[in-house]
Parts: sequence; structure tokens; C-alpha cells
Amino acid sequence: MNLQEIIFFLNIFWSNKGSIIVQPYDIEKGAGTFNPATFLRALGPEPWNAAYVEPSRRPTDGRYGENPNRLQLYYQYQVLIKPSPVDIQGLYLDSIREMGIDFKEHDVRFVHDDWESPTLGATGLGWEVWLDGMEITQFTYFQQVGGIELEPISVELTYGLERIAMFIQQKDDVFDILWNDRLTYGDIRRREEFEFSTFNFETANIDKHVSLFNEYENEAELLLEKDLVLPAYDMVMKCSHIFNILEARGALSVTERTSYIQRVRNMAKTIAEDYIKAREKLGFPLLAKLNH
Amino acid sequence: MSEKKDLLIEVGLEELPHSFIENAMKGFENNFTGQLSNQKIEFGKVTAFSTPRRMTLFIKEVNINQNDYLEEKRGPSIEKAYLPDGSPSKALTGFLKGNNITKDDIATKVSENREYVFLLREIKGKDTFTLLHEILDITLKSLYFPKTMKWENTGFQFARPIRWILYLFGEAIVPFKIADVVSSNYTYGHRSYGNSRIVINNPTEYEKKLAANSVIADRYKRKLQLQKQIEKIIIPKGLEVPEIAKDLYDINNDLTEFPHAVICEFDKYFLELPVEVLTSEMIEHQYYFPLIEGSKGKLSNYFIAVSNICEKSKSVYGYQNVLRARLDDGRFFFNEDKKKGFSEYNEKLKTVTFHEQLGSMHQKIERIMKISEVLAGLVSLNNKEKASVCKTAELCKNDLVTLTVNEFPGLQGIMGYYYARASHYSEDVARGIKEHYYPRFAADILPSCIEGSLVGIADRLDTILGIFSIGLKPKGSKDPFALRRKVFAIVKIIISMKLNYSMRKLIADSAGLYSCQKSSALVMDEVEGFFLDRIKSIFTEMGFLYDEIDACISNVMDDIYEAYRRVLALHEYRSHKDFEDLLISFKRMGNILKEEKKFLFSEDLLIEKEEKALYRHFISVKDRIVENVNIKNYNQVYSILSSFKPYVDNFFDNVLVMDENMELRENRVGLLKIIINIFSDIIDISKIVPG
Repeated sequence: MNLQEIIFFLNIFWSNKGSIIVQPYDIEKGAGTFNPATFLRALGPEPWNAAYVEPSRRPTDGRYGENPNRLQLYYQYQVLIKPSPVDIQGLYLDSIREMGIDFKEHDVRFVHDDWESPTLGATGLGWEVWLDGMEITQFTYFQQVGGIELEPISVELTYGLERIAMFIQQKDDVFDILWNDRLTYGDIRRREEFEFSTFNFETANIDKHVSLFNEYENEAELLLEKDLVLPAYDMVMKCSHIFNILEARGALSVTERTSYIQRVRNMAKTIAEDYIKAREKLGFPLLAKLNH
Repeated sequence: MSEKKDLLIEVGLEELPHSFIENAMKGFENNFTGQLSNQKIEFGKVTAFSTPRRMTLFIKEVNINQNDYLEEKRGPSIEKAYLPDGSPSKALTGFLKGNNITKDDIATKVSENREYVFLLREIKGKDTFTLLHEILDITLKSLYFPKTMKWENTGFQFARPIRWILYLFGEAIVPFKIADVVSSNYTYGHRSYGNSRIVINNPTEYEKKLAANSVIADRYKRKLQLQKQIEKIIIPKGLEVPEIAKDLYDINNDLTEFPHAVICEFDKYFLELPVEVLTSEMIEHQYYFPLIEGSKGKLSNYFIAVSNICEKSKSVYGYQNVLRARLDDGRFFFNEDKKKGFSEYNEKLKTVTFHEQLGSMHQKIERIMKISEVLAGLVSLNNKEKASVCKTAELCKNDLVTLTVNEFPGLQGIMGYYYARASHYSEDVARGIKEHYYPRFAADILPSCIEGSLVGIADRLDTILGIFSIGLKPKGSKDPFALRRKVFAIVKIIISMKLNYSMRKLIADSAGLYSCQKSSALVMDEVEGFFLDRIKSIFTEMGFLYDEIDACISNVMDDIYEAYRRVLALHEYRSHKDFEDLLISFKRMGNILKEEKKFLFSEDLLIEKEEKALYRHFISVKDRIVENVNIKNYNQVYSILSSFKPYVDNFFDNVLVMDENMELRENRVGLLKIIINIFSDIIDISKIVPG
């Protein structure tokens, strides 16, 4: 399977399980969890079932396209289901097995790893899924999002697409992954890794990013006053990414870092609360449509 | 004899965190069997099974009935139960009615010295079967886990989702429901081999049927099998599992249902990395067993991974690949870190907060340097040693801001050692950086060099003084900064390095480093009190008796090491019976002296031969006592003290101290006083309590 076939496969697999296939959200973010299809939809009583690819930016992980395992941008395949199905572990394992991985020959394991996103005020319990010792998926039962205790509980699956492709294609270097049958991951993305690593580590203007953070934060507050929760949340994603760049630039002391995280979290909390109120005003419409 | 049946409960789970399993199983067994006993249900042998996916109790020969028992319940007192005419009062009729009993069911019994009406009735034991729901319900709801979660809509909390419950009493399914899961008579096999549903007809067939489906349910048998597999691989190669990896047996055992050890290797060129980096990558991130060549040998490039399936050949590639990627990263971090001179990291410590009110790590370092310098002066180091200590203090926290320590916090100090050497600091300084964290836990090794010892004391004292200065001293069981453990470490270091210095002076000279609301005099007092209190309990933990500690500790803050030596010498000498008796005689002297305020002494006033003999003996050994007290040879002092035994005994047997003649009396008190005084620097005999 090449990389795009893996994505096609997962889309069809989860579509058959009732997931809507959401598209990547067009704002930079550190993980698929930030996509409103996860962060916001995990909140409140309405059921939800979605799957999507999400480009995830981790500026500090950039290595200028020179390290076989590290990228400043990579692709997650994200599944969020609320409430969590009884046989979710089995469903997940089916999705891996059907990609051609035989668990009688390859050692699959659920290894304790609780998850926490301090910026999103989110926590969950679950595992890293190991395949022959390599983490290929983060499997999490959300407990809190935006500081709010969840009910019902959502389950989140985050597949590391590059790792799965490396495993299936037996490649030691991420840039050797076949994207389709003719072009490699490196053909498509190596230059991008180089330029963004340079930007993230060397050229991003610190003062401008600090002021951008302030501007977006300010904007989020104004939008919330006008009950525009969704645009306000866009601003939070912006802030979170700018914070990541400032960190990659080495511009933050440990103390400052804590205070930036706190600022993003405060916004995320308010948005989470306001989002639930907004859905309540609409009468939680998906309750009737999606409840089985 | 009641009929008996075997009982089997298996709670099927999504993988429990491996670190929870051992305690969870103890709790499961204790809670469940505790409930059986409470319910007066007799049972036989209990076997607990566990894998990541199941917690199981197999209990042999459980009575099918509760034992019959006598129900007892106190009613009103006799005075209140009957009216003067002997007829039942309202209180009594209420009690009868309330419990649905008649007068035949009550008796009179004494309780708390009064007579009461008691309900006494024989209760027929219920069917065990009907009680099993409640017993398991209470057991699961009261089971403790370090962290719990919700996953379904009843809101029940457990470590991980429960997916099935197998509950058999004999061959019957015990009806049970929790968290939307209903009990059954089936279990599931190993995930990788079909995860098939397996019907268990009888508790006794559980273990065998699971084994046939690639699940070794017994945690101990599974571990033993894993150990044997590993031995079989490594012994022919002359390799061993190092001490630091021993926990991996349990960890891997609790991560597998069907463990298989797999030998793997990594590229030899990674062996250039510090050994701690290699082993941390293997142990902490991947749970791989590093291997060494012989018991104290070098790290080998072989390692062992533990698989959960029996086919190993295809997994090896993955196991090795993951480690290679990690070691590549480790190498990247290590080389990046070394690109800067080690001293350059000092500046970055300004960005790390030590404590909000006590400033950055950089400020902490400045204080540690000052305290280390004072301490180096107090223990009279030469200039070269002093310089080495100060350099160690300056550099000791620099590795905290390196990439490698950021990745592996457990390598703090150890990376400092490598980076200091790479930047051409002396071996002493590098070792000092590494060892200033020792001891890291109660049974840990201690620093072997003066640099690590003094900087380790300074670092800890800085934290203690700092935290006291902002009013956050430990209270009761709350000691969030582990200050008690810090005093413990300081005392251990002082003793092991034989450091003679005044802790009081060190505290006094350091207290001014903290600008705080409290006056530094108050902080000094509090910290001294804290030390004194801790030292007493540390000495007690070392096996010294309270009175020995009290007798020797009066000026401990002037020299902790000497106080320790005095207690130790006293403790050792006390095992001689004669010495114990002598101490008691001396204590008598002390008691007499306490009562008698006036005394004088003149040799001319000695009359009795026993008092003369005592005095002569005193004169003959006096110089040796003074000399040995001065050179702190406490054993010798106690040996001389022992020589007083016959003289003191004779004195007390034959001479009356409290003579009617006041002059003689004061003279005799005076004699005792000069004898006692000569020992007073090393022991306060009045504190001794006869054993």
C-alpha cells in the first residue's frame, strides 16, 4: 500500500462504520485534536462520529529534512466517536489487520499512555498502540476537554500515517515512503521540511509573532463577546501555533512558556463553555439525528 | 458439613496499565475474600490470575450456604423496658415491633455495666449464590487504582473499560451486571490468535482452556517462563541482564499474555554514546533488556525485546528499527549538546524557575556557590580543593537545560559529568556534578568525592533555607519539597565523608542570602530546630536508643559528625554489662549533684579510704581523659570511664555522701562534681535511662 492508498483505505473503512469523512481544517495546528471536528464535537451530549486526515505541525520536531524519523509537519489520521463503542479496540485492530498486517506475525500491544493537552485543557486515558515496538497510534478515551468533564465519553484514535506507511512498505527513512507508486514522500515534502525548519528555528520574527499572538488573543475575546464561538476558536488555533513557533525559535523562558500555555487554555475553556451553550440554544440537533 | 463448590470470577478488560496490575490483584483478592468472610461464607484455597486483559480469582471449595449465625441487637435498658408493674413499656414494644419479633426472641444481657434487653435470634445462613452479586459489586466498586476513567453512560469508574465478566459458581453463571456489562460463562483468548470466545463450563478448567488459547493466566508462571527464555538466550553468549534492568521482568510480564523473548542487536557504533543514554533509551522507552558482558562488564550491542506472540522472526526488524531511530535521536541530542561549551549553559538557567518566590535556577546556583564556599572554608579545604568545589557548584545544574536531559530527566547529573569532561573540566569537578545528587533515594550510594559532598550539602541546604524563608516549612505529613529527606541526605554525607564543621555557623552565614518577609534570625531558629528534630529521628533509625541520643546530642549543631561518633561510641560501649552498671552509678552521682547546690573540694578533707581511692584514681587518669577528650577518642574515654567501676562501687557502698557534717558533705559532692565534669563535653549522663 502506498501512502495515499492507506488514506483511501481508512476513509472507506471508517465510512463503512458510520463515520462522516471530515476534511482537514484550514488552520495550522499541532494535532488532529485541534480540529473543531474533535475539540468542539467532543463537548456536550450530542453523538458524533468522524474521521479525517489532519496535517499536524510540530515546529520543534523539524530536522531540515535530514532525519529519517523526524518532521515538523506530518499527517495524522484522526477518528473521533462519541459515545465510545463497546468494541472499539476490535474495530481499530480490524482497520490495521485489513491493511495486511498479520498479528500472528507482528506483535501488537496496547501500552499505557495517558494523554494531556495543557493548552486545550484536555485529558484522556488510554494507550500508545505498538506494532513490533513502534508506536503507530494514540488511543484515548477523553475525560475532559476545555476543562469540562465529558459526558458521554468520546474515544479518539490518532494513527501516525507515516509510521504505518514505513511499517507496511518496510522503509527505514520517512522520505523513502511511496506516496503513490511513482513519487516518494521525499519528492513531495523534503524541500518543505527544509524551508519550514529554517523558518521555525531561524527566521520567524520573534517580535512579530509575539504581537500576532496578542492580536489573535484580543480578537478571540471580541468575537466571544459577539457570540461568534467558531471564529473565536480559529483565533485560539492561531495562538497555539504561534506559541509553538515561538518555542521552536527558543524565544520563551520556562516561566513565559507556562504563561502562554495558560493564556491559550483560558481561551479554550471559555470557548468550550460557550460552544455548549450555543449548541443548547439550537436544541442539540444531532441528538435526534444520530442517536441509535 | 455444608456442600462446597468452586468459584471463578474473571473481569475482562481493555489493557490495564502494567504498573497497576500487581496492586490491583492484591486489592481484588483481599476485597473479595474479605467480603466472603464478612458474609460468613467459608472458602478454601484462593488463586489469583492476572494478565493485562484479565483479573481473575479462582476460589476452591466455597460453602454453598452462609454459616448460620446468632443475630444480636441491643434494645432499651431494663429500667426503660418495663413499667413498675412488670408490663412492657412503649420502648420495648416499639423495639419488638421494629424488629418484627416477639418476647420469645429477647433476653437480658449486660452491656457497658448496665442491663439491657437484647434481640437474640438464630439466623439461618442464606444461599451463597444469592449473595455473590453484592460481594462482587462491593469488591469492584471499592478497588483502588492510581487513576480511573469513565467510558460508558452509567458513570462507573475503573482503571480501564470492563468488557466482559465471567462469573461461575460451580457450573452456574452468577447473575451480575456492572458498567453495562452482564456476566456470562465465557472468556476470550489471545488477541492475536483470533480473540475467540471460549466457554468455561467449570472453574477448574479455566487455566487449561486459556493456556490452549495462548494465554498464560498465572502471572508467576508467566514470569518464570520469560526468565527461562531469557536465560536460554543469554547464557550461551556469556551475557547478563544488568541490575538496573531487573524491573523489566515484571513490566514485560504485565504487558503480555504469552511472552516470548527475542534477541536483537543495534549497530555497534552507537556504543560510543554514554552508556546511560543507551540504557535509558532501551529501558525507559521500549522496555528492552540491555545486556552486559559478564556481571560488571561492558554494555553489549545485543538486547532483548519481549514479544506477545510466538513467531519472532518478523518482529525483530521492527524492534531494532525503533531503537535505531531513538539512538539516532539520542546521538543527535548528545552531539548538539556538546557543540556548546558546558559553561555556556549557565546563562540559560535564568529561564528556568526554581521556585516563584525564590527565583530562577541561575539564582539558586549563585546561592549554592556562596554556601559551598563557606562550607569549603569551614571544613578547611586547601585552595586547590576549594577551587574545585566552587567550580562544581557553578556547573552542577547546567545539564538541566541540555536536550538530552530534557529528553531523559533521569540523566541529570550523569550528562553533566560527560559534558563537563567534554569541555575539559577535571575528573573531580565532573564527578562532583554527577554525585551532588547522591543519595537520590534512601538506600542509594553516597558521593565519593569532596566536591559532590559539599555541593550536595549546599544544594540541599539552599532548598531548605529557601523554603523555610518563604514560610512553606513541612507540616505534619505534608512535605512537598521533601525537606526531611534532604536533611537525611546531608547527615548521611557528613557521616560518610567524616566532615567536621558547625552546621549552625553554615546556616548563620547562609541565612542572609534570602530576602524574605521573615527575619533571618527567625528562619535560622526554625531551620536549626528542624535539623535537630530530624537528626534525632535519623539517629533513631540508625538503631541508637533515645537516651543515648539525648545524652550526646546537646551541641550537635556545632558538629554533627562528632555527635554521631559520640552516640556511636556510647552505643557500642553500652553492650558491656559493667559499663551499663557504671553509667547508673554515675547517674546517681548526677542526681545527687542536682539536689546539692553547694560544693567545694579540698583533697585535705578526704577522710574515708574509699573516697581517697576514688580521688587517687581520678588523678591518675585525669590527664589521659583530657587528652582523649581533646583528640575525640571516645572509645578510649569510655574505656577509662569503665576503670572507675570498682572505685565508684566502693565509694557508694561505704561512704555516705550526705554526711551530717556539712563541710564533708560539700566536699564529697565536690569530688563527684569534678569527676562528672571532666566527661561533660562528651556525655550528659543525667539523660541515661537504665535499660
